[in-house]
Amino acid sequence: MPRFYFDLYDGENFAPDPQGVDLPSADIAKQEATRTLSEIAAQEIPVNGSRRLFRIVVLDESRTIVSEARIDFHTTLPENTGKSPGDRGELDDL
Amino acid sequence: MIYDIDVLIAKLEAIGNLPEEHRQALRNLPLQKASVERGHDVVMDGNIMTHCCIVLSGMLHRHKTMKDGSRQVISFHPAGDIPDLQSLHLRKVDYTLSATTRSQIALVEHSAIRDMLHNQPKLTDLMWRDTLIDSAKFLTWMMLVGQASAEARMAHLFCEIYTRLNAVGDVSGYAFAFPATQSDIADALGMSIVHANRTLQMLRSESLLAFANGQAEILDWPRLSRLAQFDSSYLHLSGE
Repeated sequence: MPRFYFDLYDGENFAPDPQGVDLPSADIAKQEATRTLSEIAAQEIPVNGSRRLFRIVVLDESRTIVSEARIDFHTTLPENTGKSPGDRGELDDL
Repeated sequence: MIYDIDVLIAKLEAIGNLPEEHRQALRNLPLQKASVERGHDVVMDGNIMTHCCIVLSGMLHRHKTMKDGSRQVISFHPAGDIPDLQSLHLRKVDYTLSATTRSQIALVEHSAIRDMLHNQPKLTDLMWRDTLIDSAKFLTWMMLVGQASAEARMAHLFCEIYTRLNAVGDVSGYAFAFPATQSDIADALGMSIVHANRTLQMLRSESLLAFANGQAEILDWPRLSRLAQFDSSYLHLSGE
């Protein structure tokens, strides 16, 4: 089975995956990334703030990007909803 | 003299009293020994059993698989365990039992176990106790999988395996064999493989736990067990 690497940015730290995981296909690797992202976000969001970006980049054995997934979490109070979050450009900080 | 069954005797002695006549009765059990390769199934969901399986060396695990293919590993069984003792009374098994690593097992006919318990009725108490402890582990694991953080779940798994192996003398300091794969551990803890790896890396970077190639070492028991909120009383090792 080919090996895939899952580099994670959790809003505070960038953690490259030194080890990788052997998986049957890039499609399964994409599913694995999606599940991982949702698990990590589900645990981290409730304890850490109202604004958080989680991002996983899946690389193959030659370290070429095969897919990317992100969760961009916001909470906004009604009086702060004048602009949509995507307008603010925070995503460019990565 | 050393008997194959002594691993079972050591395990039972860790959870209760085992007088000499009970040890003798266990040593008289007719064993059919077999070797199983990693990943091979010993018992499959739906099988109707006529024997139980004692782990002599290596490790087995029980698991259940959803119709969509998602797998939950429900327990790990090192040497000395009888992972399918329930099949004595619940002959149609509702889980699959597989080899975590290359293992030696002994199959014992249900009729032989029944005869032994008929002749040594008090040994039934200990077998019953073992089955109840098995279910006590599930209570704790249900709580962990439902409520604990990924780090706490991972830490707890290693605290439990260490404590069980320590009770039968299968540890070297805080180092022990835990021959589970990334995927077995992820499926036991209800997390993705990548998440499980990342969690192990975090525990390693905090100098709590080292785990590679089936070998584990707890680097800081007080901190790891505190992170896990580990309380070994559910393993009932004291004989209480």
